[in-house]
Amino acid sequence: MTHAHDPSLNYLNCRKGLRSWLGTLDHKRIGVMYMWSIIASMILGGILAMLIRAELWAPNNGDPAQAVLSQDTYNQFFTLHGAIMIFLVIIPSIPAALGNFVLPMMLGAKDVAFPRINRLSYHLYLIGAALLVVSILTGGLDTGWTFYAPYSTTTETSVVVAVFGAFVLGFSSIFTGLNFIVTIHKMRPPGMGWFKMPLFLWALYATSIIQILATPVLGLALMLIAVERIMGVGIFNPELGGDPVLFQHLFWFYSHPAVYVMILPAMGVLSECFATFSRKHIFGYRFIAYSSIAIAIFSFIVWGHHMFVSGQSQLASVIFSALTFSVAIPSAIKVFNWVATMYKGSVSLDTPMLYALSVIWLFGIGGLTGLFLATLSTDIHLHDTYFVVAHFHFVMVGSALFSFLAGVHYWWPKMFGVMYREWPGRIACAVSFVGFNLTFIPQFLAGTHGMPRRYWDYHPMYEPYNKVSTIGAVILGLGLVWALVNLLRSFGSGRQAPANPWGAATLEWMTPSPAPPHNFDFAPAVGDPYDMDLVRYDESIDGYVPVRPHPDDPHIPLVEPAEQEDEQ
Amino acid sequence: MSPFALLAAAPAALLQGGQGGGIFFPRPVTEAAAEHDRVFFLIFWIAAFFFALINVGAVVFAVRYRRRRKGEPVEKSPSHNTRLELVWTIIPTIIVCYLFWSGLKGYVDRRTAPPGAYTIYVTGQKWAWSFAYPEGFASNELHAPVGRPVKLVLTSNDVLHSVFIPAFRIKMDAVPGRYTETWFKADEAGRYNLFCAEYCGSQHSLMSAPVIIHRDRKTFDDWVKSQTDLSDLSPLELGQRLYTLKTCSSCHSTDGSKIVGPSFKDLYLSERELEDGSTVTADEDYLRRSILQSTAQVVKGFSPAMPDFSAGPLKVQPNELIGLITFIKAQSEAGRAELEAAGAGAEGGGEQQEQQ
Ligand code: HEM
Ligand SMILES: [Cu+2]
Ligand SMILES: [Cu+2]
Repeated sequence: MTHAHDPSLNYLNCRKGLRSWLGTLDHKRIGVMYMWSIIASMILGGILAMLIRAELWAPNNGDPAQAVLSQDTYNQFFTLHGAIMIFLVIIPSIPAALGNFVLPMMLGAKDVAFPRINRLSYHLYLIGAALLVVSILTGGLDTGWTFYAPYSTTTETSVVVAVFGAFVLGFSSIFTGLNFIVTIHKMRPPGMGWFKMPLFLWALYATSIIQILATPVLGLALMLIAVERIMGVGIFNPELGGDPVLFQHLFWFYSHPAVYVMILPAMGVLSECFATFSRKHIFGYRFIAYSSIAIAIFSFIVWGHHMFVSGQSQLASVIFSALTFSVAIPSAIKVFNWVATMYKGSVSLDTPMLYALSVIWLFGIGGLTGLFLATLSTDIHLHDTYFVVAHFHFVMVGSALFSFLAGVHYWWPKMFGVMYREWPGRIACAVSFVGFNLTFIPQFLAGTHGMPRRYWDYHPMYEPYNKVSTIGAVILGLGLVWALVNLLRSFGSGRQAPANPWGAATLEWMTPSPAPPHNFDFAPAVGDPYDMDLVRYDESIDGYVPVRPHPDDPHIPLVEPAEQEDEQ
Repeated sequence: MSPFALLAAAPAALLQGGQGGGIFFPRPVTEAAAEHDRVFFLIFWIAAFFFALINVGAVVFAVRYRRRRKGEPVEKSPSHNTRLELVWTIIPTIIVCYLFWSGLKGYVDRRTAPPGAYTIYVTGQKWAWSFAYPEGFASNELHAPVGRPVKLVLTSNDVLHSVFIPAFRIKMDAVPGRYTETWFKADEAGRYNLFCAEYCGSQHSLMSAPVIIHRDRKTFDDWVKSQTDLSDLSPLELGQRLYTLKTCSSCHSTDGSKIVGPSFKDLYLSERELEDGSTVTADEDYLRRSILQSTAQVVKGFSPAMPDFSAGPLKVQPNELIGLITFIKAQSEAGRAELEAAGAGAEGGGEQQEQQ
């Protein structure tokens, strides 16, 4: 890679060779490796999804001879699809890939608080992923990503290896969370009080709290499965004296908060995008910041909404339903604030913003359909149908993954120092958006008509919905591949990226692209992260530069110390 | 109705569909289902309003304030407005409280059977449903008359399953080691679907059962009688009845297709290759052992998934065993010849039309 205007080293070219990557302590390199690993996992999970959709193209009338996949293969594929997409893709996507890359830079810091733990957490990710692959090779996994007992404690597939993989991945996630919390507490630069932090950091902070408090419970539940399988101790299987509903409580105590591990950082990315691409101060900063924390707290007390028909007591269900509605409020607040941010702004439709706008639509549907599931009466009918499948794809793919793509496109110039081409990027986003809606809107209808989830075969009356859905999936796949190809092509032909291509005021843009090995050659002074007046457009570089550059470093704006009135 | 009101009502009619079911739901067949649909559409229209609000807002702002030129000056506007933000915090809070309330009644109603309901015990087992009626027989079909409250008491013999009847909007997990319950009162005769909604392995998607609502008490009672009165049936007729009653039909076809277990077609006197590599002839004794101790001799290519018929809820009595063996014989050329020679009268047996 060449850097015409800046001959000095950057984090990509400062050291070479595979070992310099795998052994690195640099948060940027770790973030980038996470990103490629996640994209690779996503391709694997995506291929499985296509095979699932191929199977569902037409009903089999109960006859394996008419099927694309056998029942057992199908059950393994949807399990692996879910496990890969959740544990290897969506959960680490924004925190571990983008968060790792951006968080220290947003603080004007050199690295995270514990770089070695950070490296360990990436290595654990690789080990966990490898264990999942081993479980595929040694008998597969057919429990669904939810591992419900006693099916999971009695099936003959390779459950022990797989739960051990998920257990290791859990530690990877815990370590990342721990690192972020300490980094945010201890390494904020002078002048950056809590309420001068970019909202992405608030989101990561809230996410990290969930990761370190909830993940151990998942680890525990999964280990108990292994204990029951290996030693025959009756924990979940009633034949041995256990209780299957207990497993669901333990599982959802983690997995409901985990869905907010997926969406909170996505919301953080969106807050950055809406402000930057509207060239406006984010609207309602404090409400957004507090709502992240509120979501993190509420997310711990709603898990029973996955169990309204599981046999848990009616009273428990009633309480969980009431509590569940509490998470809807902070989610709604954020959406209102993003839309309000655009008011009277200078709204550009660059690729990251297009993804962000798509999420308004997609999260709108995903979040609002959550209301039907939180309501007791309607959940009886909708639970475990395709309605739920559609709901969580709207939130996890439509919202979290699209936000990840917004973030990848947003920070790509900072990561690699090159600009991808805008138009193909936008078109790929539009194609994915159309494909996504085509795939999942019909699934709501299949669900309300009563098609249960995890079905290898279905009643012929559900065929039209499944046909449209499969066609949509192909379009969605094409859109995503197109986006990836467009990004990759920037390595060959992309224009050199300016330090601040979008005009953001957060600190990661106050240093050259790609970033130098230690992020900043000169410690940046801290202003309001959304004060867009700190930078102005410079036509000669097609990027933004400080209005009043700091005398020691042209990338950094000069900030009046008087502005730092914040507490702490 | 004014033309404007009609226009406004049109999409609602299409979506909600009144008696016809509409684009979202199968036609509601119980009062509880109708109540469920009312709650659904209440949420739907509130959600639709907010969805439109944010998306129209986003599109209008994106177009109205689109960037015409890079670096264009941006008019100053406030970056927060506490009163506005409180409004859009408090209004949704009130709405969701109301939604919670609206869903409460339907939930408690559908989980609390009225006293005196007709009680059917439902057992899920990989991968068939068995319904035990108070008259003392079991079937793998769910029958009930119109207008009578029916309580379902569920459990499972192995992993989790879940009874789901979309037309009634009811669902309840069948959990091993405990009873759960739900109930319904159907207002319309007909045949409806019952699906298994909790993932339970290979045949999960095939684990369905017909729900048959009889148009009145009399036809239902006739059906009950036909089920309980097995005394003057010939062995073959008895076997044919038991083939569905004892849930054999969910795993063994009579047309040669492979479901979970081997088909009964041409089974009698054929050579069977077992898991352990040995071969045996499927004579009466082989059939007897296969029924009573199925796991002792598993046919190659199949798994030992057959329930226990030597004891427990599905126990096969000696006369029933004879019936079943006779029925299996009647599914093959050799067996039919034998039955005819014995004068047992193979008429009515022969090729099974039984549809799953
Ligand atoms: C806006 C507020 C939301 C509400 C009120 C809500 C409500 C619910 C409820 C009640 C269920 C259980 C449905 C059932 O199993 O019958 C559910 C399922 C689910 N939701 Fe949400 N949800 C919301 C947002 C989200 C978000 C943001 C995510 C993830 C990013 C998410 C992911 C999921 C997943 C993965 C499941 C199903 C898991 C499974 O059974 O495999 N939800 N949601
Ligand atoms: Cu949840
Ligand atoms: Cu099932």
